[in-house]
Amino acid sequence: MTKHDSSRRKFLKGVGIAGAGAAIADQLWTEAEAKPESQAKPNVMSGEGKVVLNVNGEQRTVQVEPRTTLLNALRNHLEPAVTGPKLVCDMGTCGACTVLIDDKPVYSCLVLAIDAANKKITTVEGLGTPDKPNAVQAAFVEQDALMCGFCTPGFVTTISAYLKKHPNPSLDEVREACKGNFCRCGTYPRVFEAALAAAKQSQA
Amino acid sequence: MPQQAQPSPSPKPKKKIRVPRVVNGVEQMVEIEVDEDSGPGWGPNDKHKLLNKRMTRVDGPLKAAGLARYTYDQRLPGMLYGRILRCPHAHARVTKLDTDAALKIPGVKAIVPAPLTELRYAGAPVAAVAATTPEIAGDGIRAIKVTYEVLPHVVHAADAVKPGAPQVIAEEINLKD
Repeated sequence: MTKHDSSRRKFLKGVGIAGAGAAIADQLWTEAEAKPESQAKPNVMSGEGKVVLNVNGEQRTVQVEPRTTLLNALRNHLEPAVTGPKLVCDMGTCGACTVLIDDKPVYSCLVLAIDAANKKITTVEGLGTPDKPNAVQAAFVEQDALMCGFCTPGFVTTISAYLKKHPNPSLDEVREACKGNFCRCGTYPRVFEAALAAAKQSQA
Repeated sequence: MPQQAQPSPSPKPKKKIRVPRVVNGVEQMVEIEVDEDSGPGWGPNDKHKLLNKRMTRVDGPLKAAGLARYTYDQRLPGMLYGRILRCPHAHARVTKLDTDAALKIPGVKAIVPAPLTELRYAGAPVAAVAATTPEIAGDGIRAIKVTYEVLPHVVHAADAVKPGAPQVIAEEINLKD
């Protein structure tokens, strides 16, 4: 086993859980490396181990189970927690948990925390701050592209990554880029406007 | 008898105003024509303090940066996470709820059976588990052994009003006048 796929579905489908756990434990669990005597014990899937996550430029050590999703690690295991990404569907449908792994948007509810180790994780908090927003965050505020705001971190993250690759998109392209994010308030028109405005702003 | 031609009313004076319209999914300002005397007069736009001014919402910057704290984002010391075990049958009764194995899982703190004796829809709550993590709460749910007495059900309204149809509530008939 050489490389893990970061999709939880494929992960569970493609390999036996116990086998995968053993392989991951060998590669990524820093605790196992720190204590060589633990190699004498059988590698089991249960229990917690330490994983180092690179979150918004900071190396953060977190205690997780092999099955802990990246989303849960960020929200419930890190101290202080990273609560920008939201848990809504927990099945890769709604996009509220979107984060960037190595600049690529992914559903963090479908990524295991251990599979995100040693990768660059960027959440909405890492894109900008209220005082120093990135172009997309500023455009969301300016265009009033949010109501309850629960889906906003996901949209902002998705659009920020998209505009980096496609700096001058059409409306249809923005819509296509946002197809993995749901907004129950229904602010889609404003979201698309904000994306287009952010693109324009970045070009200027 | 031919009707007397009415003198046509002189056309009302019109004015053009710009209003927001959603066109092809995107809000745009479009120009429409309205009666000169339509709508209340608010005075010239540049004399207003708030009206006709672009206002950004106060919670926008925090929400767009992911820093707005929702109730859901709170994490308190000793906080437990709940999961609910739900009935897979449209109509059933729980004859046995075995929580022994579930309660033995480290981290499972409490299991509360639903007070209902009869379950009337698929998804009706059967028991709730409180545990130290969401994952362990899920373990607790899966470790509960439920024995159901599956009862008959119908899907269509027409079947529900037939004589002898399964009763939604035992003491009451399904159809009332």
